[in-house]
Amino acid sequence: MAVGLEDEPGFEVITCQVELGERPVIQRQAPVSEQEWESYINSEGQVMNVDGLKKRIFSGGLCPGLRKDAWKYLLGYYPWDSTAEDRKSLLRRKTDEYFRMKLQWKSVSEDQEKRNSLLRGYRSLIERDVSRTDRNNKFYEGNDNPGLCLLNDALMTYCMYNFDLGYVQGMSDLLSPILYVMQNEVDAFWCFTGFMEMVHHNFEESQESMKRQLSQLNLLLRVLDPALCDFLDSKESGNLSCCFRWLLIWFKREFSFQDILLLWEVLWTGLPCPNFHLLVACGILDLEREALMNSDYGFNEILKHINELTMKMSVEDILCRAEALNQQLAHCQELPLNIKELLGKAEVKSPAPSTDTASPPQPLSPSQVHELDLTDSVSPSQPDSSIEILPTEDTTTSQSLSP
Amino acid sequence: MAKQYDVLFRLLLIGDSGVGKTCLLCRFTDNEFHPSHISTIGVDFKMKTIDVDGIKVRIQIWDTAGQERYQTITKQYYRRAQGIFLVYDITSERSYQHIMKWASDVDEYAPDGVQKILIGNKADEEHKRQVGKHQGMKLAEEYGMDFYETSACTNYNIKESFTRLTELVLMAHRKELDGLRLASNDELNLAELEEDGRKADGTANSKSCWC
Repeated sequence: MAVGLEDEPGFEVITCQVELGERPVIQRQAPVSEQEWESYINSEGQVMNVDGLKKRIFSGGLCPGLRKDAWKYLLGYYPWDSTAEDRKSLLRRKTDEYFRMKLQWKSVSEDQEKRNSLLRGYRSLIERDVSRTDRNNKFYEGNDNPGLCLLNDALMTYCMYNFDLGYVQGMSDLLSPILYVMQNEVDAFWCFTGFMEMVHHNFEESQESMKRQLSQLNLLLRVLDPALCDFLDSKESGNLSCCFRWLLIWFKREFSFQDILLLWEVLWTGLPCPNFHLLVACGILDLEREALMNSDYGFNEILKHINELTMKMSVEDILCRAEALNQQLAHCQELPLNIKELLGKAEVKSPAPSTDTASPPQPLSPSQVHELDLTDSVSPSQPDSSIEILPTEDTTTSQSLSP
Repeated sequence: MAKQYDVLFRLLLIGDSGVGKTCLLCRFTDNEFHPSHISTIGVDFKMKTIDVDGIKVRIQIWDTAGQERYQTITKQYYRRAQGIFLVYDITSERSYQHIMKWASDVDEYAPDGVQKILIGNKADEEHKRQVGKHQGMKLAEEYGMDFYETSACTNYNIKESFTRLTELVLMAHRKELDGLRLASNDELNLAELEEDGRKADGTANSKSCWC
């Protein structure tokens, strides 16, 4: 690895040049069929060879008929080793628990709610978002569609389940496909809480997790495609804030509804490495690199281009690219430690991984990663090892007349 | 080649989630209205060229997510703007109350001299009204802003309010515009001008940020 620190006044950039080797060709497999799924279930109704099954789901996804059942395992609602008997009692317990929480918000009187601005706020946000979530989908179209009510109620109940977080925009996007697949309020709710376990950091007030993921994406891109990274840096897009929506709601707005079902079940397997969603993002950037770089795009056009990719990409293509990138990185001998840690490829034990996420982002030490600055920086930059591009100051241009 | 515009600048739409910022924008730029539009996550923008007093003005209008915590992302755009719409929903008292917070954010993050107007949207939903027109006028007066009640749904006061903010920005940049009239072959990029101005006086301490 060559780390070059160019030391020009007001311009400082770290480049990591790593030999990545040839990119493998990845073939997606056929979805797991119902028959195949059955072959993993023993007489007690327990799933056998969970790792093998997850690998199959990762490489092929699930056939539509299986989702309703399989997602409950992937999202931690059903334990993989539960028996059919276990699940019956679990279902009873979880149903009771759901309706107990639902009753909590249902029984708040109008008068009480007047004195509960938090609840009022959540309710109003949910109402506004339910009315604009996937309304083209049959399950949510029209004004009196029961799907809308289910979406509303499950989100309100989630506020009772996690009142500190409450409702944050983007959550309705996460619940909608789950509810569509489950066709059942209680099951959808518990599967949603499982999904939220993986991504609730995205919605936290501080937005620290989002900032961290954007800087991790930058780190990855710097190894995978330094030229693209430099290009984006030169267009003031190096912090990848244009990818914010991708990471916040796991590409929900970028692919068709059906494609999202596949993408999410693949990501929920937690395979082939932690933070694979960041490699999916790299896969999209990889697909678009020519379009971005062979243009005279500036900051605005880059954002526009990224925003307008929505519904234009094939999820299979992107998944192949992401997996190919993962294999390239896995075979690379000289991968920087922070990348290894990020993708769970480091042999050294990383300090205290968080316990509440399915694929916890690996903590990176402050000296290894610089949180890309998403806030207006008020102080002049300090010379440190951060990835940092300052605009070249042109004091002579007092008026800029565009051509 | 005939020039496509005389002046280019940026406007920004801010206000609570669901007050209709995206709908205002779509009505203005595309004359479309979708009552069940998807919520905005992150930021987006649209462009439109309008004619104001014989000047062809190209405006880039930035649309932002309304929920407060996403301001980490959206407030980056404040200082790139020459004009800002502060939008509330006349059927939501809360969104009106929050204008105070939005206005103080503007003070904090937007450049001095940014032009602002207050918009009370969804004026067609009279039966659900929670905020009187006089309340809007009073608030606008307090802040020294112009005020419009609008409806993206019925296309009421949309063109008027966008044109008004455009005029205000043009007036605020009269000096540069006079220069433009003398050398009428040039185009004036106010957006760039503002940015270069900041760079020149050393206040643009942007690290690798997106502004």
